[in-house]
Parts: sequence; structure tokens; C-alpha cells
Amino acid sequence: MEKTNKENLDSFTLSPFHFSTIVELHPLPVRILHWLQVIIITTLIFCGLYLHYPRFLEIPYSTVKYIKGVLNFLLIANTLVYIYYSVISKHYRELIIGFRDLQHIPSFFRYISFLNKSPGYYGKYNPGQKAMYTFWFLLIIIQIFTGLQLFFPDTFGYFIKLSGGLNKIRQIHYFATWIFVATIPIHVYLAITEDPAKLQSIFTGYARR
Amino acid sequence: MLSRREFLKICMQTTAGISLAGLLRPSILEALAQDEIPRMPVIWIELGSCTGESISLDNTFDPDLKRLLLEMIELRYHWLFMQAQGDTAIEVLQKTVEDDAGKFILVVEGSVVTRDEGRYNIVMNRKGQEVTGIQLLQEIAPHAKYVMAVGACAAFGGPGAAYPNPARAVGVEEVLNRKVINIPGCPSHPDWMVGTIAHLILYGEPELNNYHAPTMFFGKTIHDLCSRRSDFENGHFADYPGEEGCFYKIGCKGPVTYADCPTRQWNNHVNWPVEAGIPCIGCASPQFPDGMMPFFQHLPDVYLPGGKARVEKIGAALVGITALGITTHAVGSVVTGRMGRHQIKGTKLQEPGPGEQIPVDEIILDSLKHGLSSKDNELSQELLIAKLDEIARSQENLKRDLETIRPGKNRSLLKRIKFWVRKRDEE
Ligand code: SF4
Ligand code: SF4
Repeated sequence: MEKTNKENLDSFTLSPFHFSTIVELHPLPVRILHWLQVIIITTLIFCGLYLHYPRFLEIPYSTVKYIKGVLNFLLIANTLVYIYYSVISKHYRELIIGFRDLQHIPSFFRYISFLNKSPGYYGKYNPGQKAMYTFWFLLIIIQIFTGLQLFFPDTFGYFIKLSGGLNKIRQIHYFATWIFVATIPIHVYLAITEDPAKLQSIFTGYARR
Repeated sequence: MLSRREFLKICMQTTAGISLAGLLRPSILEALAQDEIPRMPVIWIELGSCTGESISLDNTFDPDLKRLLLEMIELRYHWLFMQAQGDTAIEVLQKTVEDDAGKFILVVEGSVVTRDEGRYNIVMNRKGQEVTGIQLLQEIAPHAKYVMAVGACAAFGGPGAAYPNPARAVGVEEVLNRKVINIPGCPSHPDWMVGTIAHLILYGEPELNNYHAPTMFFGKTIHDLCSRRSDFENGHFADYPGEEGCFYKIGCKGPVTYADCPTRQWNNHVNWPVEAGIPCIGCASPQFPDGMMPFFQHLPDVYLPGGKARVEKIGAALVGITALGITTHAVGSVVTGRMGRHQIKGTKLQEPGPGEQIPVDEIILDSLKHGLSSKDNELSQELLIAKLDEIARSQENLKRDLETIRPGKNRSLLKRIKFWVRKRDEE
């Protein structure tokens, strides 16, 4: 039998903590909701831009319209589930930017402008991420609202008049799409370059500390 | 007399070759003859306008329409159609307002010019005094039974109020405290005007939409009624005016304009823009023309300080800024070595894979068992307990460590959530 001595025990008792630092960053519901949202929003953007100015493709307009019509409602459903999940799990505290994030802003800016080598302790997401997620959330709400108005113009007549007519709403909807197009690459770029371990965790859920 | 339902059916129906007036006239005449309905006095005033609606009415080839109009109403004042002039005409106007207060229909054509108390729009010379449009309107409107604003200008400001609107023109409803029935269009279709007047006389106020336009004419979009709708659905688009196919790509405003042009058709029910090879410019939209321009683009321009821009341009500029930002950051990352640190040394995941993982407690227990059962045991009981203590403490430390990366203030609340960061440690 192997002789147990002090050194032996040390290596046994201490090394396990190396293994135990696998942490779950993104639980399953978050991952599912995230990737559903990715698929839905990407398709909606492409469909929407195509519907705005149909070119390149030789597919019937109504097909694209149909796909977009279905995904519109999937987006609403997914967003509602997202909201529900975030509220009951209190996940929204980490997603939505608040006053307590203000104190982190200077250090965050020092980090992104390469003055600091490492980021500070921000919690799950840094202020920049939080700002972007909050902004996207509002943008999605705007898209859903304007989209519904365009989809059911007779039901939303009152709001349509309030916001300056159908064409204005079309313009807002289209502009918001462009904002998505302009901001999503930032998220993708930073997700890929910032922390590969975190990138992995949006697929698997886990990362090693 | 026609029932209201039948009336609406006639108004909305589309029988080629038979005009609305032709269909309505017999029953209205009958009702008039049997004194079921009164002949209503009508005052038609014109403010800041191009006389388009009057011309639109006057130019109709349909004899029934003009006859119907004149049989159905008593046109007391209309500066184009009346024979009286000057003081006589003004006297008639004045008398109608006084004697028939609460009984007449006021039809307003043209936008209300408000700049400098409306002095850019003098509509008459009464007893040597110039009367402005807004003044006349506000004088007469309170006495009218119904106020009808015909044409885009009267209804919503229209071309009269288009950017930059030097005369500060507005729609009629904005300067009155009462409901106005709006008949948009630039110009309005004669049927829309006459049909609405007929409805007012026969049944009172028609059903109105949010913009106070009668739903019997403005209840559906051009797009829903369009004869090229199948081209639209099939993706058969015209690239230039005059081509076959739907004009969506060259800025047709049919999808955002409520009017029945495709079925009613213009110039005595002969044709309408899309069939004639040109996109609808949305003249019946409340935002016409600013909200509909440029006519050959879907969406209006965005007015920014320093000029106007297209949404696409702004969008592309934003994408450009993003690209620039990402590039700068990427270069910075490479130069400062952050990229290398993150990509090469940054992840700990390259080390022992999850397959080698063994439950912590088991390992510890195992080693302790070994330590105790061993004959030539170097370890005393005390040492083992001390060792266990150490393990427990380092576990505590780790937990605290994990908590420091959580938002400080909410730590106590967050503790309650079974949070996944800690999950593995507790297992
Ligand atoms: S031509 Fe205009 S109204 Fe007709 S289907 Fe095309 S977009 Fe719609
Ligand atoms: S088709 Fe369009 S632009 Fe032409 S009259 Fe009708 S609403 Fe106006």
C-alpha cells in the first residue's frame, strides 16, 4: 500500500480545489433564450432589410413576409419569456444598468482604452455590457411596439396618429433595425476576443475560474 | 329612403361605368321630394389653397354628380360657382350664418394661414375691411352644423404647410375647438366630397377614423385594394415607372395610405396612378407631402441640423463607426498584448479537461482514510483535524472570493438566489 505522508496528503487535499473552480456562468434557460434570440433577431434583420428593399433574391416576397410574420411573434414570445425568467431569477439585476454601475464607469473606460491591464470587479457583466443589454432591451421593445402597429394598423390607430403616421413608424422601425446592425458586431467582436472562457460558457454554460 | 347600410354599400361598391352619384341620385331625389330630408345650406369658403377641390368637383364629367350636388344642397356661398359678387355675395354669406345658424354645412378648402394673424391670406373685402382666412373661419365655424375640411391642405395642412412652411399654415381642425370632418386627398375625389355631404344630409355624421376621415372612403389602404397586389406578393417589382409590376421598390405609398383610389378611380372612373404606371404618392395621407417625400423612395428623409439624410445613409454611417471602433480596439489589443494574453494564456480551459474531474469530498475522505488506516502513520489525530480545518477554511475563502465578483450592495439579496456561480462548490 502506498505510504501516506504529509506531502502526499497535501497534494490530495489541495489540488481538488483546482477542479472545483468550474463555475456555471450561463444556466440552461439563459443559453436557450440567448440563442433563440440570436436566431430570431438575425433572421428578422435579414428578412426586414429584404422586405424594405427586395433585391438579389428571386424568392416570392410573400414567403419572406410569411417567415418574418412568424418570427415577429416568436420574438415577442421569446422576449416575454426572457423578461419573465429574468424577473423571477433576479437575473435582470445583472443585465440592466443602474446607478450602482456609475462608480465602475471610470475604471471600465480605463480598461477599454488600454490604460489598465485588467478589468475591475464588475459582477457578471461590466458596465459597457450592461449598457448595451439595456439599450437592446429598449430597442426590442420599440421594435415590437412599432412592428405591432405596422402589423395591426387598425387596432393601433390611436398610437399611429400619436407617433406621426404609418410612414413615420415605418421609418422608426427601419432605423432601429440599422442600430441593431451597427451594434451587434460590437457584441460579437468583444465576445470573441475578450474572454474565450466566457465565450465557451455561452455554449456549455460553464467556465473555469 | 335608402337605409344607411345600403348607402354605405353603394359608397364602397365598385361597379365599372356607374358612378356613385348615378347610384345615389334617384333615392336622394325621392327623399327630397317626399320631404324626408331637408336641403341643407352650404357655405364653401376657400383659404390658402389652389382651388384644387373646386376644380376637382367642377371638372368631373359626370353630369349626375353636379346635378346631385346642386339638388341636394343650397350652395349659398362659393366664390367660384356663385353668380353674385362683392357686397351682395358677402351679404348672402352673412345672412346664411345668422339665419341658418346650426343648420348649414361649412366646407373649407385650403390651409389656414396663421403667420402675422393670417394677413398673408386675405379672403374678402367686407365694408372696406380686409378679412383674413382664419378670421372668417373662426367667425363662421361655431355656427355651422358640420364643418368639412376638403383637400389635404384644409384637413392636415398638406402642401400649404409643407416644409419650410413660411406662412405657418395649419389644418382647419387645429384652429377650431370643434370636430371637423376631414376629406384628405390632393385633390379630393369628387365622390369623396359629394358622398360625405350626402351622408351628412341623410344620416348625419359618418363613421370617422382616427384622423376624422370617413371610413367608407378611407377605411382600407391603397395597397389592400391595389390591382397589382399579386405582383407585390410574388416579388414582381418594377424598377422604373411605366413598367409592369408593383411599384413598391420605387417608393409606392400605397401600403401607408388609406383611400379607395384603386376601386374608385380618377377622372371619372377611368384610371388611377398605379394602373397608369406610376407609384401612389400618398396624397390622401395625413402627412402628405413632407412625410411622403421623396416620392420615389419608401421613407421620408430624416431632418438633421445641417440638412436632411436618408435612413440608410445614417445606418451605414453607424455601421462605419462600429467598424472603426472595432478596428481601433483590435489594433490596440494586439499592440498592448491583450489579444495574445486573452487568446493564448487567457483561458484556463486548456488544462485538465472535465473528464478528469473527481468529487472533492471523496478524494479528501479517501486520503484521510488512508492516512488513518496506515500502520506507519506519521499523522496524529490532531494534525488531521487541523488539516480538515484548513480545507474548510480555504473553501470558505473561495466562497468569499466568489462573492467579491458579485455586485456588492445586493450581496445579501443575491445570496437567496441559488446562483450558479456557487453551484459547483456546494456539490
Ligand atoms: S403598386 Fe403600390 S399599392 Fe400596389 S401593390 Fe405595389 S406597393 Fe401596393
Ligand atoms: S393613388 Fe395615392 S397619390 Fe394617387 S390620388 Fe390616390 S392616394 Fe393620392
